[in-house]
Amino acid sequence: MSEIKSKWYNNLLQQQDWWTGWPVVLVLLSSLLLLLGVDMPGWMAQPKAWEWTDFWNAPATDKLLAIPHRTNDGDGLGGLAALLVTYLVFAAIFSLSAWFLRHDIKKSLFGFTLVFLVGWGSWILSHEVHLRAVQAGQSATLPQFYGDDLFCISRIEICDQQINAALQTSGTKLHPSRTQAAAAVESAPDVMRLSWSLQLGNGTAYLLALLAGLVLGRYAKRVSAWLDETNQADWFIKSGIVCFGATLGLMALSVSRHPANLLLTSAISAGVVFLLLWPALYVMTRRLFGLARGEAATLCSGIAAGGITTVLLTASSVRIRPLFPVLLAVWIVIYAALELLGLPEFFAAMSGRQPIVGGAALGLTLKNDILARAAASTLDQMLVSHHYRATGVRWGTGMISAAGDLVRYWSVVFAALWALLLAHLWSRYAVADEIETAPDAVVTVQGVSGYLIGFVLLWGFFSVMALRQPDGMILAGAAMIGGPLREMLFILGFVAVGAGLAPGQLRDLGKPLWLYTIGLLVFVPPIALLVAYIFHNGLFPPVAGH
Amino acid sequence: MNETESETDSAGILSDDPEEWADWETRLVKWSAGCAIIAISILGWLINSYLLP
Repeated sequence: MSEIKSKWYNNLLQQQDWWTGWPVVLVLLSSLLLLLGVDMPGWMAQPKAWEWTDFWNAPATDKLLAIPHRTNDGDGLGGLAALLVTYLVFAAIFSLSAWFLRHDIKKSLFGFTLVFLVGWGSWILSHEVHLRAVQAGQSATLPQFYGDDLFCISRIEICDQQINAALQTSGTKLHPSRTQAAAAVESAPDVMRLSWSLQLGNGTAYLLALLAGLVLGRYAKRVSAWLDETNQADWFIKSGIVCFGATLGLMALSVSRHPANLLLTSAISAGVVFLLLWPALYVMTRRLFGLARGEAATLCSGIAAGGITTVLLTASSVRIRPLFPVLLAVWIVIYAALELLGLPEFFAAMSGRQPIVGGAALGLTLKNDILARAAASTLDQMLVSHHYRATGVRWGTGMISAAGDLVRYWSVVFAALWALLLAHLWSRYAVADEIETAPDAVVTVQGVSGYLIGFVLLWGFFSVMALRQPDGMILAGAAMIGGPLREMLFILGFVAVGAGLAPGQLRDLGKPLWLYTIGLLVFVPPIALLVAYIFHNGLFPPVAGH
Repeated sequence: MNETESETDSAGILSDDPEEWADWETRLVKWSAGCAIIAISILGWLINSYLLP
């Protein structure tokens, strides 16, 4: 410990926490090169939505893998070649990291290759539309015009835009005829008619990755031992957290387009709800239910703010192994999909004549970004439609769901800042119990590891770039780093965690999952409604017509 | 070691021995709840008086 006091930078290159941050150098470099017009993130492969009968009838890799965005003109990499490049780049970084950490490079590379193959297999499978597509709001609220079988295979706001644009072109107001609705759906490329869907959104990939990892660990025990030895799950997840900085930067751009009063009220609501819920839940989980500090903190951030990345970030900040947050994240996905079935109706009934209150309360309650957007879109169209039928006044669509989007954004921001505070407190107090006399500055540097610094740098960089209205390439690069790259790293982390998981360990999971469910059912909705009412009452969507 | 033994011996998901409650946790909880209550009172009043219709 005295070594740490005198030379905190000693052996920095041999520390796992700092090596998880070194992929950041690549990400930061590629981000800076975007400024010079070099689109490095553009080489990355990504899966795309597919439907199994269509694939079965005429199998082709082009149906499973998207063409990288830098080669949309057709003269560059195909999907499969991009996948190979993606593998080679990450295998090289991973091997370099293993070399510095003095791991066995052959074992590490073999383990990485297996995780990569299994992870990508799960990721591609998760893009089958019956697993992830969410019901379009039009279909949920106006099935008599659209039918009840409309599903969105990309982001729900894109599907809404496509349908609304088609309706506007045909001169339709609120309720189209069946013919107009059918024509609008026909012209929306991201909308499909499906007989069913599990509606798990992007969470499908994490669920499948964990299950595939479990199978891998069961039948390739030596591989799972190597993965554990080289701590691969931690490496992937912390690298994914770094990329989350780009996601937050991009989100800053999208929220900055909303009215200032809604921005302010949503920020205050999200902060108040988080600061009210977190301590109450923390005391409950620690003192009444006897959870350890790190697990209690992770669980409370999961209930108060939610989101898979938020949970993973908090868990890393309080230095617990990825097993617990990964299992909690999978439960968040399943629980959010169940909530999607009834939450819009619940908040439509509870918010009375205050539509923006309903939208904000929904955003404060549902803990998965993609599914929260889907639920907010359904609520938006439900309330606009009810109001039109009751009064003959047509509200513009979009503002109710925007209220939900904004509080989700701020919840994630507060949870991320809170995780940084927890990282500091843990290094100052929890870890300092072992390093009793270490000077504060030294402990902080040791505690705030490379990946957290990378996360903050990326968040700042892309927030500034996005708000200064950069060109399309910087936005596309940020979207790639904060989207598919982050998702891929988390998926590989989930596979590695699954491979090391023994089914017998799951017996411990009952109490925290039960606490999560009770927290979301009992504590969150009333506090969300109360706070949303205090800060949003009297706000209404603009009138779009009569 | 057979599979059942391996599963039984594997570390649990949760820590076996939760730490004692510490003073700094009390301060964290108090500061957080205090900030929330002050924000909901003062900002709630300001927002309702000057911003909301």
